[in-house]
Amino acid sequence: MTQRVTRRQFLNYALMGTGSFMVAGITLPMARFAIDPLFAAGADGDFIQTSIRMDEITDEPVKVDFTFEQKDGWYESEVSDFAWVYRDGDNIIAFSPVCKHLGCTVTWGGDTSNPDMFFCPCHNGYYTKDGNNVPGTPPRGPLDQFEVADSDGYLALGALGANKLVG
Amino acid sequence: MFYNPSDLSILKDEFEYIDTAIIPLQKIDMNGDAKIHANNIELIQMITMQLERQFRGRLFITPSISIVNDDLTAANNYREQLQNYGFKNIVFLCDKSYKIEGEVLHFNQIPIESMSQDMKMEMVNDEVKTVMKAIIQIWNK
Repeated sequence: MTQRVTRRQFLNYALMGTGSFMVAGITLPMARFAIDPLFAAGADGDFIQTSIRMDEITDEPVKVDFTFEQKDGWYESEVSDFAWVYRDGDNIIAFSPVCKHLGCTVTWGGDTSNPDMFFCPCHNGYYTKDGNNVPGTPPRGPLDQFEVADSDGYLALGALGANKLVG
Repeated sequence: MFYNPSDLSILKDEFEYIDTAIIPLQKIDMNGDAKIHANNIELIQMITMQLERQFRGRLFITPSISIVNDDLTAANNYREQLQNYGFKNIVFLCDKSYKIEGEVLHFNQIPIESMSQDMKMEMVNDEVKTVMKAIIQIWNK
């Protein structure tokens, strides 16, 4: 025996069905708009992606270029900068190349008689590989360090902060 | 260091370390060579920006001195002033068309206006490297 659907039941179902579609049609996009910004901020933050693959980084510091937008008064420009990047066990270390003395650019192994140190050509400043300034040379503190992240296999650089390798 | 309020106060405090002044020279004559001059002005700005980044802690890069009718009096007066201020090395930075006494760093005139951004950066960086080597040579004297 088949169950009969009354006219009243049929209309109820039909109304509820279309009603729920309409409610879903309105609330889902609103919810997306509300939640999306949270995800966008969480995924990338202020990290700048570079063109260096994480697995290409060795324990020898290399220059890694990156560019970002800089606003200077009314003038917006694309600035290119670089970091010294190397691998230390499981960690990737990225140092700012700006000397902590008066702001020149330091180079890795720039002084041929000290090939395993960062060297500042302005006043012969030295830093060891962990960014620590060598006492007796002009620099007044260890090199600043970038936060690093893995962005789909590529290195991403974040905020610049104090050196975390040197206590 | 540049000639701006914050850098000038660093210059005063750290003068023992900042011993070299760079004076860029730019011709601004409104004659048939105006376009060449304008090109050189842009080039000199790019070179000084790069120099500042590399050697910020030891160079004082003054504002460019504008030269009219090849009159170098202002440049020479300024050089004397910087000498009296106490700079050990005072160096003019200009293209090869200047006839000026004293220590001079020359850069090649590159027609950068028609170049792509990447090409431009590459050419300028080559030029900067030459200038940097010359500066280090002055320091090592």
